[in-house]
Amino acid sequence: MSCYLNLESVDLDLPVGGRSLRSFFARNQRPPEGEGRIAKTDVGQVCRTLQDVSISMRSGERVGLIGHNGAGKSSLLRVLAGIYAPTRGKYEAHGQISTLFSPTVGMEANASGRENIFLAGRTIGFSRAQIAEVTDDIIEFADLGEFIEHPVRLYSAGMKTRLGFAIVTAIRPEIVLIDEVFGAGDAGFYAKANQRIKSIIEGAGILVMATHSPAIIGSICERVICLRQGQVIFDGDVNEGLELYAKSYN
Amino acid sequence: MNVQRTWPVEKPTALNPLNRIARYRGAIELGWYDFITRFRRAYFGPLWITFQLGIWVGTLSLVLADALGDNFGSYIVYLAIGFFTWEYISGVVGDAPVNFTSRDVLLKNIPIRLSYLTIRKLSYLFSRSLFQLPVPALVVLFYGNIENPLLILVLIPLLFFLACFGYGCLVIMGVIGALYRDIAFLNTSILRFLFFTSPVFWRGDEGIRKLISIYNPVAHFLNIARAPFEGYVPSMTAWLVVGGCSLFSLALAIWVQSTFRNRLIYWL
Repeated sequence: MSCYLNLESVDLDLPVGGRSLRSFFARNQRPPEGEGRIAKTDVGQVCRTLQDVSISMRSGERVGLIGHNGAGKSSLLRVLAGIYAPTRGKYEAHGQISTLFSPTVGMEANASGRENIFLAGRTIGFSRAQIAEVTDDIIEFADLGEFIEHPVRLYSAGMKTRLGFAIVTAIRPEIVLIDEVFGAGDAGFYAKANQRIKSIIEGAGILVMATHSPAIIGSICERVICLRQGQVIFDGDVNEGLELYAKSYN
Repeated sequence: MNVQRTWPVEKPTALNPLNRIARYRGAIELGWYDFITRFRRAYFGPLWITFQLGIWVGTLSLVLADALGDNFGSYIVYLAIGFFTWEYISGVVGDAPVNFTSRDVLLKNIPIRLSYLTIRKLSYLFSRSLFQLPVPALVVLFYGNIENPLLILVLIPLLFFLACFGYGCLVIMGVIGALYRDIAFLNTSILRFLFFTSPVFWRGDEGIRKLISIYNPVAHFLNIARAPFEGYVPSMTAWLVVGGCSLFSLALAIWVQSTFRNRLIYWL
């Protein structure tokens, strides 16, 4: 089955304060005027998080998102996931979406790793049968040894990442969106994760990941989207994109 | 400008859309888990909830039965049923404004339906009530006098209405409470006021108390809950108020959750 993600001239304005009744009932707000990222509209101040973003992704693509802090990487991922609705523009997604924005979503710090497989799995929509099916696979992939029976609050950041990643990718999703979580993992985990991502992509999926590490992008992705101030300034070849990104720091 | 929205995503489930039923079941299980996990390191666990209600009902009956000129047996039944029902209603009203704000991490990180979160919270509240149930059950067993057992059947529609009312409140106040954070504090104060202006521990049989019992919707919920144990048929007014409140809030909630879903996420 093929999947795709399409964004057509998408703007995302996030309200800054916006406690007014007008923002409660405003349906189609007019685009803000002026240049700055914080702008005034008829419903109060907004942060222009994304501006005129048009992207289209097809099955089998591995896309890296790069950009400075605050460039809009995480917001773009949330729009792609269907979490933020675009303020203006068109969003289309086809395929089962799995997100890994923070490794411990749906987990309970005081519950053991094994219990958390159930909790997080149930939260993101696995059935009981599916969880039973993949638990061994998750435990093996996360490779936490005896820690799997102990509370997650004892885990290091890297261990949480391993468990979170293992759960999210356990039932092969079609579209995987990852936000800067590999930082905490070690080389061993990284190699395994890379392997698993490849198998997802081979099954005609889409991977989009935001990261600051050119090395990770270089080894996993084949397309780079560079963001600056909420706008796409580059979309294409990895090496070219990374060069542009490196230059923007000088 | 060409503005087009294809949102919410047709199937915002993270996985197979056929799993929707599984996801609601999951929400119920997670609500139960949320409740149990509060007592994780306590020896008596969730039984504390039972003890709490038991102690409260027992003490209050000892002190008030006499003061309100009632005999102990009939007063403790009146109070136990009333307080048990009140605990659920106050749980709904108290938790509703933070229904979504307390789940902001989930809402911002995975595509999830508001109804899953609401069912999860409802399941939490029902789990709590389940652990409180032994108190009114034991009280009725010891002191109750059920003349017409058929009247117990009124509890079935009441349960349905309480669930609808709970769902409605959790969604409506959850959305408003996400935009206006004052609602959470406001509700805490309102609950105190509501507790004393509802016939939970006093009987609304005369004067100003009778008047309050007519105009306070909570009174009608309590009125139906007590019917089988007090031996009267709930009035038509009670059914109309309870049914009206419940179904209206449920319908409004369904409209609210589809209309404000897109914007709610910006307010978290």
